[in-house]
Amino acid sequence: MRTSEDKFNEALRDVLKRKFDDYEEQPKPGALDRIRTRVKPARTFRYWWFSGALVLITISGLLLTRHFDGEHLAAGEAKNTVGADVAVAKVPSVDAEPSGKKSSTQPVNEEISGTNGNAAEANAGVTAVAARRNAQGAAVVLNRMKVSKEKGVFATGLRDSPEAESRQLHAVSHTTVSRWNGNRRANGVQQALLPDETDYVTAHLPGTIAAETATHADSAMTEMPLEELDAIALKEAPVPLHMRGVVAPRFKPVKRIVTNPAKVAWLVNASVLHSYQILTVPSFAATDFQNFNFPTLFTSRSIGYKFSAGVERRGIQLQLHYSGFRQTYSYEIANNNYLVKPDDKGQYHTVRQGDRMEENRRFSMLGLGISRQLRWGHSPVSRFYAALGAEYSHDLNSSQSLAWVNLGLGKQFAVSRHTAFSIGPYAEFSPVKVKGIANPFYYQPYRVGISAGLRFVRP
Amino acid sequence: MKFFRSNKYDSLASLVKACQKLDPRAQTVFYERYKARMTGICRRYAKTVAEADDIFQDAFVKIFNNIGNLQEPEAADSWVKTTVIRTAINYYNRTTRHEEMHGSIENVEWHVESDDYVRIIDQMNVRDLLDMINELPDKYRTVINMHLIDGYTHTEIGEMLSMSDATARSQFMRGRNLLMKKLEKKGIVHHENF
Repeated sequence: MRTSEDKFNEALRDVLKRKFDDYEEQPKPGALDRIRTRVKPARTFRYWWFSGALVLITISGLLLTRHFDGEHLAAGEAKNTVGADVAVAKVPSVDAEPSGKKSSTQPVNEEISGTNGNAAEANAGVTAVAARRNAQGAAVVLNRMKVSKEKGVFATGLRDSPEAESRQLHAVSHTTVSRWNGNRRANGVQQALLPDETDYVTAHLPGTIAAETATHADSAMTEMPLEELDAIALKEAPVPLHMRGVVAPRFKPVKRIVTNPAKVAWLVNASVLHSYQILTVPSFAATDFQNFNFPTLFTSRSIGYKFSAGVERRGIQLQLHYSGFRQTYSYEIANNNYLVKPDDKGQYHTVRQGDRMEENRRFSMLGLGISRQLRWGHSPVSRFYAALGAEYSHDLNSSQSLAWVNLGLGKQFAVSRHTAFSIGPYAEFSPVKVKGIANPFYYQPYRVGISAGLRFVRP
Repeated sequence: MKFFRSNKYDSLASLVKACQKLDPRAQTVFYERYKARMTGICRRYAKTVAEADDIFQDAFVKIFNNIGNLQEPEAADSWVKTTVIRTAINYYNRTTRHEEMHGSIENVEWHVESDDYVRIIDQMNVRDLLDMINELPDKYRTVINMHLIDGYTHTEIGEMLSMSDATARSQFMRGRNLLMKKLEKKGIVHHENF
């Protein structure tokens, strides 16, 4: 049974609910901004974006590497093939067959291949280097060569190369090829000198042999109809006895800066940077804040770091950056207390009091940047460089972003043929201002420090 | 509760799901949807406007940070309201509980004499009534709000305020009587005829 208390409570509830059920008030303006600063930042878009960028950089880097490796291989094949064919056509040698059958259609190759006869020994040392180095390339070439039953040997797949096109392959007779290779297979290894290798070898050969080798190499660069080749009489090249069994020195790659711009280079950098700031106080809040105090010129509190990784091609660098730094300063919020103090001259000054606030904000920025690097210098082991770039980065601790303009200078040193180490001063400046979290100020950072990095590229 | 609808999010569920993905635009729409009503609730539970602002902001921070745990997006209205009320309770637990436990509990005696009080309250300006509720001690104000306006039972109030049903009922009665006393002090008494 309901008592009078219950009835009264019911009536009271009805009237109060009626009064307050739809009661609304407006919150303070700016409440949402303050709430946002304390709410977990949205990460989905940012993570997808940077993840996509990372995947894009990696894939593009791999594709570019494969593409240019393929080009390089194709160019190498064409070079080797042309060299081999011209050598087949031009270099006189001795037919190894006892019958001494030296018909005009017989190409003379033993001198180059060094497989048959005494005459071949003359250039054995010279060709050994080329043979070793061309073994892989020759194998590829052989795969592309067809032995014609009627006429001779042709190379295919070289029309893409202008160099190869300008030097049409000359036919040799199938039977001659078989004889030239002696006990090898009919489509055996063709060995020839590449132009640069010829230079290398001639540099290490004294006197007439060097001259002859150079002549062969030069003449190999010119075209000659088969008819003329057929007319050339074979003669045995005189090889001095002391040259027999010469062991060519092994090619030893030197340590030097590789600046092949067409290659994709991989970059890794680390920087230590001191942060500075430009703080803008809006005019409407100028009377509410006072006595700003900033860190000293050099302090460990303002030291930050930056790590970068990316790719470079033709001097254009695309990199992902991760950096951390802190923004520290203090200021006073002016209150309504005033302090009247006398000075040395007996005059009184009114000083408005304030409540001191400390700002200590940590930035963890993830960014994507593009820059252009220029290198100059003549030393094979070191170069100077300058890099100018732009970067967009996002603070992982808040939903704010910054854009940067950066400049790096320094010197690169060769660590190996594949790797260069670079070091030098680095500076970056943000032309974009970000708003403070718990205050109305605008923050514009700039950072100065030292950057060191490694650059990996295939020579 | 009747709230305005957003053009972009065609249902409350889609709005909540977007907020669960931390979509800033959805958070803004969500905030706009609830801000006025929740500010009103905060004003009822808080002693001052400044404290109401603090409670409001704390509540929305909790809401946005925990909305991912909301299993039924359709129940967002009541979830938001409950979160705001719980935040207000926690706010005063945190700041005034110690003080209250050691303070003297005012012994308020008041007897129901007439239903005129209800009629008088009905005719009062909502602002004046709110001011009167705000003047109540924290514990009474909370219980009055919860039981008379937000419809919580004494059992629920006891659970939320960590007290027994009987204590919750007793607190309510004392709070109600104190409110009536305040009405009397304001010169609004049952024998006045409007």
